[in-house]
Amino acid sequence: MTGEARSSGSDESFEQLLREVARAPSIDPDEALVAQVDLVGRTLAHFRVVERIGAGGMGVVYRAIDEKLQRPVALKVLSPRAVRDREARELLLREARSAAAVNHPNIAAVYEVGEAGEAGETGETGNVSFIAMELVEGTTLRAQSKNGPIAPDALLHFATEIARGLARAHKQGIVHRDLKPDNVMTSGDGQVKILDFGLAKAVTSGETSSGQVAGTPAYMSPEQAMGAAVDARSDVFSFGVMLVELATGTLPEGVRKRAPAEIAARAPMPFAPIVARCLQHEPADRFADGDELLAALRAAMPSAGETKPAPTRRKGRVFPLVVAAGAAVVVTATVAIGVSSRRARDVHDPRLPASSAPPPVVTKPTPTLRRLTANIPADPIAHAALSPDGKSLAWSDATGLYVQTLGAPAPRAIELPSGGPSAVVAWTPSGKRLYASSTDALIEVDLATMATTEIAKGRFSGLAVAGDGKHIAFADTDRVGYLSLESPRDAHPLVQKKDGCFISEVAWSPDGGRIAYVSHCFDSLAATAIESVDLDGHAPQLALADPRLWNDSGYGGLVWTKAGELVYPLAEWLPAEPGSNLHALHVDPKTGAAIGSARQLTHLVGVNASRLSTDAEATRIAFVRFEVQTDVYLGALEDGGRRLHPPTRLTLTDRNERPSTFSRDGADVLFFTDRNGSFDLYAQAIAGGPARPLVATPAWETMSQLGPDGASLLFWQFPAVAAGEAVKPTLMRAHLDGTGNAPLLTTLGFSHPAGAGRPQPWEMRFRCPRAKDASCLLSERDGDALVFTALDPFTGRGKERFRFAHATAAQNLWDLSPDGRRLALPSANGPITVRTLEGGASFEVSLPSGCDPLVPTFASDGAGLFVSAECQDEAFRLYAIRFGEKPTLLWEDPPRLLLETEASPDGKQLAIAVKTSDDDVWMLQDW
Amino acid sequence: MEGAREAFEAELHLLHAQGRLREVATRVLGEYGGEVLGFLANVTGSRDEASVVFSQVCEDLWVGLPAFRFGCSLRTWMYTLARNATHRARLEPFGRKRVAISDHPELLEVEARVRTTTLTYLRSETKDRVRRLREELEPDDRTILVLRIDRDMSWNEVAAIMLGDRVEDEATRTQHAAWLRKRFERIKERLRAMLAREEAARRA
Repeated sequence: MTGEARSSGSDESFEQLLREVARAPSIDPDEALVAQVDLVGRTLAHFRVVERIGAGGMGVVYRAIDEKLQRPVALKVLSPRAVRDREARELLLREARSAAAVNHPNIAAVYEVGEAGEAGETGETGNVSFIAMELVEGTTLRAQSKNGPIAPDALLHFATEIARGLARAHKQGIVHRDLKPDNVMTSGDGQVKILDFGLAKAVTSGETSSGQVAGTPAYMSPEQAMGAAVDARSDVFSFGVMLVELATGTLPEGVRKRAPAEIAARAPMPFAPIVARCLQHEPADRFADGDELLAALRAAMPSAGETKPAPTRRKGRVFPLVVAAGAAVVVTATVAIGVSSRRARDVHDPRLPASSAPPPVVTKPTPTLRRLTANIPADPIAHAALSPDGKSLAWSDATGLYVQTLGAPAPRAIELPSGGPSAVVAWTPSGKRLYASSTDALIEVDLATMATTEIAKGRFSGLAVAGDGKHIAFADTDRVGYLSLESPRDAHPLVQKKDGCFISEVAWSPDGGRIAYVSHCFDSLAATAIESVDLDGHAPQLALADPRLWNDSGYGGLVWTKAGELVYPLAEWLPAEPGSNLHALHVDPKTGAAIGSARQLTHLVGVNASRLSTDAEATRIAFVRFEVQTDVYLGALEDGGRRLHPPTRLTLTDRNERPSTFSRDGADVLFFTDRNGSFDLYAQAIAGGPARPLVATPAWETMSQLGPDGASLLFWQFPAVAAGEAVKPTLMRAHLDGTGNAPLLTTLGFSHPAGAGRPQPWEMRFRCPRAKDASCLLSERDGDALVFTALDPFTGRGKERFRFAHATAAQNLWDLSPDGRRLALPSANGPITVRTLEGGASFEVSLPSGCDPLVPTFASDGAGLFVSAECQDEAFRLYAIRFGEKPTLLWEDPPRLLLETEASPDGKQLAIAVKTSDDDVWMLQDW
Repeated sequence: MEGAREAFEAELHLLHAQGRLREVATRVLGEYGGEVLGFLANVTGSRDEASVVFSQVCEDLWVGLPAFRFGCSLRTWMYTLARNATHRARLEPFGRKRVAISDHPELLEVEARVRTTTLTYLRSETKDRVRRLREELEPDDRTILVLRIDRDMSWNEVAAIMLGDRVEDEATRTQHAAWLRKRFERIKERLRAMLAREEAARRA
């Protein structure tokens, strides 16, 4: 009944009549077959049916009296859907009998299974299959969860009781297969009973010919969803899903696809780490069975010795942005009475009812996030540092350098002597001075007088003051080193940066003997690493190599805590929600070698963290939280492609969308988008209106091109994998409307899936010409070489055309002219080579000094290029280069990043990928 | 209930992506067939007509399933098909030949089962007064009442069904939803007026 119907008039009889007019009864046909036979008052075998108490997927449930034992039972009369044929019926009865062997207070007992006609006769009702079960008075967890999240203390009780039941059943080799809130009953006194143990398999196994699998999809483990064999670990997975649902009040989506930690982050402590393990996609990574699960829950429960009086029962909370630290956070307190009663129940006679309601639990303060700055997207935070006492923040942005006491109404601006934006900032251990870089110098700031002094020259990308307050570690454009504040102009370089890499972060070891740094390598993601070097300049020691140290901000973050741990962010890769989380790794300050394995500190969802700093005790971490989003913009070209009307946004979601090509008639831009979670191909009419999906599957589809025949749609498809897994993309062919997908070839190389806004494969690319008689071109990595082969939309990879023996990453982003005769090949810091494929003649075109090309795209007449560029003043610009003419600036819109472009076939429109970011400082406390 | 429905829809989405269309069709019919037929019985005002239109819905389901993109739930889509089929049935009173699903006995079986049990269940449940009022309303008005009041759908869902396959864009749907709210008020006014007329006639 809707609100409008209720409130539309004062006449109640009218409302009633309205409801009757609108009434369109319906009935589940299967249920109807059972419902038509009213069993109330009749007897099945020795069960006298008293009343109908419910109906579900399996059939109708009646309250009945076992006339032999004179006890009430729940009599489940199975629907035809549950038992379609004799084989299925027999299996169901067999499974139910085996479940009946499990005798445990947390499992509703199965008393009897069988078939009967009415009162032992056959005929009137025909043979009916039934299960007589323990009658549990109370409500299901589903019903309870309708009121919102279940409070953590009550949930811990329920979870423990369920795990206890699972432990017993698993020990006897029985798997539930359909664990969900509907199948757990709770009574008013806190008793918990799991219903329908083992029945799911039997109910659906009769339908395996249709491929249906037992269970409820939203709760199914990956192996169960695939129809593979399941064991106790599948129940553990379902348990995890249920726990998140009950803790948050909403069913988590994509449990088999998204990163477990990401889903677990929604659950409050102490459930998050348990849920994260339950939801592991690999069964081997989960708790082995209910027993292990129970042990974990018990560990999360407070011990009897750590009690506090007068607890406050906390309401259930849903954390919009939950941070759940791993081992760093422990539950420390609870109530003596609660623990005693719970412990007593561990050994109590299972035949006795539970004696008390679930006890409340008090947990340590939850980690919280606090926003410290509120800059607009056009003025992103460049760098920030938390003071050693954790009470002040220094930060720099495009407008200057500031320091602010947290909670104070306004920051204090610091005038830098040489002007210009500041790149990085660091505090001295005393908190009395700051060191900040200006455009070309290192500045000392006395916070008492706000006096500034230039103490050294250079362009610094990382600064850290040693614990003794006498030395500063730095990273600049070429190297890592340190300088002494007594003679700051004498730098001591220790490590030269590697080719194709840059260094953005430095951190001192707690003893001041080593400097750690992050080396970001754009030529090879896999080479991106944290290393450290001692002050004597011995060879650097690798601490961690992980391509996830790359993120979309271009910055990392590094802190070396007093406890000897390096703390750094690692990106969450798709299919997880784009973002990053903090990890910690013990590193030997003497050798720089990692000790043990890293642990994940945060479970942030959709939050990118970079540029870390901590207070002296590392109880608070400040970081720059950045958000990136890429959109397709469209602008009208004029003057033969030499001018561009200010582009306007074409795609209108808050997700990442990038243009791939135009339709042949120029009416649509084909683009790829993560609006559905994975990347999919869509078409957007430039005249406006809703975007049309072309290929949208759980796998990622990216970077489409139209075949020269004009009838094929070619695109990369990446299999859906767990975050961080290497994948081997497949080049697919489909009809123009996206139907009829078929694989064409699998690339030779591997590619790491990257974060939002950068889904393209780094090691292969293909482009197709518009000319019908020309062929598409495919490039793939073979070691250092970039190998170009012909690509046919029907036969796939053709003959090798040429190769570059030592190709740089920049060269991956080449383009093919519309007539298929020329190749535009960018270089990292130099000109773009335009090479004629037949004959090999080539010429070079250059951007204005100080700008490096990113992605060149041929104009539709092939007589020029559109080139996105990154310039030394940190602006991103879009140029038009007509061959034989000087480049002309088409567009810049700082601070937005302009990426690839696509020109319409008639040369009148240009689609552009535009990336926007928004950076602010946040602080994580009590982590 | 919502959770179960979402889970059902998610599972069918998965099966659809795997190309197991026959299975999807069978299960959609099994799950939603009964309520859609009940809806048709209300909107057409005739069990026989509802039965014929239901066959058309089953065919449309089968024919349209490969291209269905899950822009809405399967349930909403079933109602869209039902509304479109009702509309077509009014325009083509002699009906069309059913073809598509006859090759698939299990689909026919589900369809027959839905029809038999639901129509049997519906028999003799409508009061004369209610039936009279329904007959006074336009089919689209009846559709709006059933979807909004009895099926408890959101206005955007009702708008999606009423707009059918014509519009995919959210803004248009929202706009149409606002218009439907007004129409809903007018329907209620009409019903009140009818009742007043009835009352006056009874007194006279």
